[in-house]
Parts: sequence; C-alpha cells; structure tokens
Amino acid sequence: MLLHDINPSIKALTVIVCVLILSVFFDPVTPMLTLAVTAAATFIFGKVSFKRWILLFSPFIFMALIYIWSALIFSRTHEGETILWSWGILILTEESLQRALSLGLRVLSFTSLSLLFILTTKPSEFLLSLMQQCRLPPKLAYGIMAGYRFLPLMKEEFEIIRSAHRIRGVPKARSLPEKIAELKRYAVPLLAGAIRKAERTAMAMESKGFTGDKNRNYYHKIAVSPKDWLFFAFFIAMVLASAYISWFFGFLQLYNGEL
Amino acid sequence: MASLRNQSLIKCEHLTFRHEDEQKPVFKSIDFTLYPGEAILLLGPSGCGKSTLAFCLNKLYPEAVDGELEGTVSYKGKMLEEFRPGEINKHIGIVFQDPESQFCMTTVEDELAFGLENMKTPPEEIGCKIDEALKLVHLLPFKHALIHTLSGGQKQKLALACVLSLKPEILILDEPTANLDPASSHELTRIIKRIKDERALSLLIIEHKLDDWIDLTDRCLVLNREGEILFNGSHADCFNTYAEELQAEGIWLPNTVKAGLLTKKAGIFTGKELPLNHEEMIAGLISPDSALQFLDNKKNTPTCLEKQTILSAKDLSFNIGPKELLKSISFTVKKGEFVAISGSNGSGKTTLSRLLAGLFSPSSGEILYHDRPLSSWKEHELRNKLGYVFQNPEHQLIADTVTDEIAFSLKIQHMPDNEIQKIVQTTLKQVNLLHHGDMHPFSLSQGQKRRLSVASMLVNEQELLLLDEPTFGQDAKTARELMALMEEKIQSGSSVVMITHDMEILHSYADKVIVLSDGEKIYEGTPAELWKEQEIMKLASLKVPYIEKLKDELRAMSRREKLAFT
Repeated sequence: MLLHDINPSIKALTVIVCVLILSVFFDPVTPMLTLAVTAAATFIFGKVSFKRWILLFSPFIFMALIYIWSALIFSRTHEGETILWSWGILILTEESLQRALSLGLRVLSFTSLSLLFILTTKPSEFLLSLMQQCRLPPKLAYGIMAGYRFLPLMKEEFEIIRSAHRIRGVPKARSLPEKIAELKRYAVPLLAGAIRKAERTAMAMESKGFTGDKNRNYYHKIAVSPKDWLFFAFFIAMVLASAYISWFFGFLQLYNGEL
Repeated sequence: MASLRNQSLIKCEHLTFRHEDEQKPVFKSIDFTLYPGEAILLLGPSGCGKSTLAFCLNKLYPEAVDGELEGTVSYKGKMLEEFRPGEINKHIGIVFQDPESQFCMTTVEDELAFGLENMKTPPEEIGCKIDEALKLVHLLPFKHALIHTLSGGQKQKLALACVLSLKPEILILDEPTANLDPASSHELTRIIKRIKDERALSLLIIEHKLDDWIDLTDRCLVLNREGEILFNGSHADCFNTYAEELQAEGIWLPNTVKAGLLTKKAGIFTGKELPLNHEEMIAGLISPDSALQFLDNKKNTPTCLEKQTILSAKDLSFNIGPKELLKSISFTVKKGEFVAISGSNGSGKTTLSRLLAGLFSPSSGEILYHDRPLSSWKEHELRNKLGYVFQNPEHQLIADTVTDEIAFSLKIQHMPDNEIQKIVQTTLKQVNLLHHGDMHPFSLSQGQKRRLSVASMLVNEQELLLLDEPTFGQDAKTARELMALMEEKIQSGSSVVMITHDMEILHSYADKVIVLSDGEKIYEGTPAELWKEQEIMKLASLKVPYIEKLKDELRAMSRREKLAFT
C-alpha cells in the first residue's frame, strides 16, 4: 500500500488533526517521536527519495535552529530552575533548554507531516477529492486547477517582459529604488497578460459546457475506503502513543502559554 | 444544394455587437444562415469582428464581456437565449486560436473528461469516448501525456478532440492554424476534412491563410473593415468579383487565385474564372512555356552583396539542464543581407534569435557582431546597433502612448528634446501612425501594433534587425506593410534576420535561408536551392511555395509536350 493511494481529503484531515493534537503538548519527546515515524512512513510507504525530502525539509531545520537559539538566549528564567551553564548575563537552564527543543521539534514535526501530504498527493487529485468528499464548489476547484497551469506560463511571460525592456536599452536596475521601479514596470504588463489569459481560459471552459453545476458525474472517482480510515486511525494513535511514551518517561507537559 | 434545405441550423438576423464603452459596433447588421452539412469560410481583415461574431454564435458573448448584442441568433429555430447555460455548447463546439489558453486540466485524458463530465455523460462511457475522440485526431498514444509537453500542433489537435468528443453538430474554428508551422496546419486541415465527411458536421471556419481550406468549404462570408458583410456566396463568385477588393481589405487570397490574378493581368491566363485549385490554374494557362517564361522573369535578381560580414555565429550551442536546444550552429550575416531562419515548431528558432540578440548567452561557441564578441559589447551600445522584434507585438510595447513608445530609447540616451521630437515625427510618418501619437499602444489595431513594434526598433537606425515571426497571425495588408519596411531597411544598407514559417516570404525576399531541425542546422543556402531538397523540406515541416510548385509542374508539362512532338 502506498501513501499515494490514500484519499487526499482524509490524508489532509489526518495531518490537520495530528497537528492539533501535537500543539496541545509542549515537550521535546512527543514531536520527536512523531517526526521519526512520519519521516519513516514518507520514505517507506511514500517512496519519496531522501534527497528530495531533505531538500524541502532543510529550510525548516534552519528555522528550527533559529528558534532554539533565540529561545535559549532570550528565555525568561524563573526562580528555582536548574542552571546548566552561565556566562555574564546569559544563563542557560535545563528548563529553558527543554522549552527551546520543544519549540524546534514542534516546527519540524509539523513540517514532516505537511511534507508527507505534499509529496504523496497530486494537486489535481486533491482538488477532485475536495469536490467529491468535501463539497468544494466546482467553480472554485476548476478555477484553481486552471490557475495552477498558468504558473509556468507566468514565469515565461516575466522573462519576455524583462527581455523587452533590455532590448529597448533600459539599463539594469542596480540600486534598491531602481529595482522597485523595475518591478512596477513589469507588474502592469504581467497582470494584463494574466488577465487576458484567464479570460480566454474561462471562455474555453464555458465553451466546453462548464457551468459550475454541483451535480457532476466524475470520470475519476476518488473514493473513501476503510484503508483510508485505517490510515487516519494509525496516525492519530501514533501521535497519542508518542505522547504516552513521553509521559511514561516523565517528559510530558501540556502547552501552557510558554514563550 | 445546401440552400434548398429549408431547415436552418444557425440563423443570424440583424446581429450587431458593441463593447460597453464604445460607440462603434464591432460588427453590424449581420444576416446569414448556416445549413446542415454546410461549411462556411468566414473572411475579413484582422480586427473586423470575426472572432467576436463566432463567440456570439456560441453564446460565450455577450455574457463573458460587458457588451450589447442586438438582433437574434437562433439554433434550429430556437433563440439562443432560451437555452439553459451550457446546453448550447453541446451542439456548437469551438476551437480557439491560442493553443496555450484553451485547456484547464494538466493531462490529455483529464481535459477530455472535463468536457464530457460537463455534459453529464455517465462516467462508465467516458473512457471509451475519450479513446474514440483521440483516435480521430491520431493522439491516442498521448492519452496520459501532460498537456504542456505537447507541441503546438498536438495541442490544437487535442482542442479539436475535446470538442469532437461532445459530438457537436456545428464546429466553429477560430484561426486554428494561426500558430502552427505549414506541415502541422496542413495535417490539421486534412483531419478536419476527414471528420467533416465522416460525421456530416457543419463548419464555420475563420482563417487568414486559405489554401488548405478552399476544398473543404462550400461558400464564404466576407466581412469588411467596418464589420459589415461584404459578400456571401460561392468561392468562385467571391474571388472573381472581389479579388482586388479583398486584397485591398488586407485579406489573404488563396495562392492559386493570386497566381491567376497575376497571370491574367499579363494576358497569359485565359480561364473564364480565377482558379480555385491547381488543376483550374493549369487548365487556364495559354501554354506552359509562356507561363514559365513569365514566372521566371518575375524572379528577383539576387542583390549584389557587399563582402563585409556584420554578424557571425561560431559553433553555437545552448543547453538548459541536460536538454540540448541548439547544437553547434555556425553561419554569417553580411551587410545588406536578408537572412531567413525557418524550421518546424520547437526546432530552436526563437532560442537562436534570442542568442543572436544577446538576450541569452550561449553554453558554448561565440557570436561576433562587427568583429567583436557580443559579450564584450556594452549593453546600451549594442541596443543602439542591434534591434529585436518579438513575435507578439504587445511584448515589445512598454510605454503609455505611441509617441512615448518611439521616444523611449531616445530618452534613455538623454537626447535633447527637440531632436527626439524630430525623430519621433519622421518615424511615425514612416510607419503611418502620425495621427495616433496620443493613443495607448494597446488600443491600436493588430496591424498598427505590429508597425509600432517595428518602428520602436527603427529609431536608432540599427544596422541589424532580428525579427521573430513578425507576420504570424497578421492579415495580408499588415504583412505587406511590414515587408515594405524591411525592404526599405535593406535598401539603406542594414541587414535583416527574420524567423518565419511563411514560404512566400522566403521565396520573394530572402537572400539566404537557414533551416533548423531539432536544434541543428540542416540547411544553409538560397531559397531556390532549398525547394529542391525534398528530404530537408520534409524534416523541417516546410512546404514548397505555390509559384514554385506551379513552375515545376509547367516544366514537366512542357517537357512532355516536346516529347510528344518529336
């Protein structure tokens, strides 16, 4: 069984519920265990290569490190905390280290859950599923799908507009105000072009008889089966188990407005 | 005859359409009827409201825009307003001009399914309907392909398949081949002809280039610049009575008609009517020999070229990632030379032109302009000496008024105001836009935009002008005006490098042709030699221009006649 076969809406729901549960707790162990299991699931059942995963994951590691760093340096120290290390006005306590780690790992566990969803779900299938399971209006869903196709075209258009300016002898923008002026000059034709394209596509959709009617028969049926709920149950159980283990070793804390 | 059938499919009465803030209607008092099984060719200069009319017949307008539609359109006797939203689209399908913006899904299969789902087709039937439609246009192997990976020709075939899968009774084609190379557009017309015969479709075809469409349409409907009906009747009547008027309106004539007109004036074509096909053309000529003599005389004598090389490309290659877009291309452009670059869609022509313009840097190899590597030129120096015209005129235009557009690069050079004024005036006069100086460039007509975009590249008296398919989708008049500007440019000693699919331009203007295929140069030489290289022509999806084809035939005939005498 692959993660790609899980119903996208249920998958999204699973991720959201896991994130909600995780945010109730504030300790380093629960998110760390969740992170480990989620990442493992992404590799084993999602067939995602480690290289691709880490590429997307690494910016968040960086972000987590900054969080940890600032939580360490600028944390409030309370009376009675165990001091591990101090240097001048900088004091590192065991409690603040724990808080910092909790925060950093929390960010990473959220990221890993999101990546699990993003890397194993096709956008078009997600939209189809949202229409079929969550009653998302087709007008919105197909609009998003058509817009999704525009992204690479927009990039092309941007290149062309930039070339057009170069051809006319516009000097390269060097200073910041020049760059802002340049961006302004590009924005109008870019938007005008996008609007024209959008209008044409809207007409093409209408010409194929699209009315936005909610009673559609779908060629690609995205069904919900017991295995989807099994997936849901497994992940919820996994997060709760992480919390239990954390509690068992005495780490578990409820989030109580720290930081 | 079609007109004997009393049951009309589409009937327009006194149809007038006006955009919200504009006084002048796009088209006015259009009356015409489309009968079952009939195919109508809708002609007119660009901007005369052909597309708008097509959208009104399909009920896309006036709903999609702020506009006002007067008069009535009925389908099988029922007014269009009485149809529920989306219902009429099952009966009247349309293929648009732009291959990029008529899809809303990512894969071929999903795109077809989208239309069928809209029509509430039972899901279990959709699969086989998709296969059936794809088979019709020979795209079945691409069923699971991503749409953006298809070529322009394939995209248009897909658009056709999408419409056909809904089994419409009427098919409207809005310049479906405007963005395609000669071979792809020929293929598309043949597919449409076959489907029309198999399915008894009624067609309304809007096109600029008529040659491939004449044999599959029954009559033509001509709009003039004002958006009124100029003519409605058979092709023969249309071209016999109005050939010259059509030419003046900027409508492309079929090549046979054009050749007929030419030879008739010279007195060597004696057919009663202007020829609509090759056989009629041959039949109408007095004798193959006199015609050959006449046509050979017409050929331009090659211009004497100066020796000076102005641009030379050496071993140019260009890669994006592992993809080789251009492979080791070398050639030179001499002073006063007209070089044409041709090849099928996606063969690397535009990429090459961007390299030559210094917009991209080659992955390897070198470009020398005036014996100096392009990379060592200062940007503003280079731009004053080398001009580039984009395929889409709108891409060229960046100022708020026509005058500013011309003055734009002069202002950057900090030229004194009175001098700028002078240059702007002469340039505007040259391209015949003197009275439009205060208008916004985007509000000009298609042809005016084209002229303005070229004019913006004339002000610095650039010695080399690169043009990327400047005649694409333009009417005959615009193309003629553009080529006149190019001739002037050449006369003044500048060089022109033009990417084009238009074999007539190659034939009558180019000194040298460079043919690309899959990023490789497969031909460099005169156009006359190129027509003999059948392998290359086929590989690059080119077609021999009609006059050459005619001459070949005439030569063969005269040989046969001589044999018969001896």
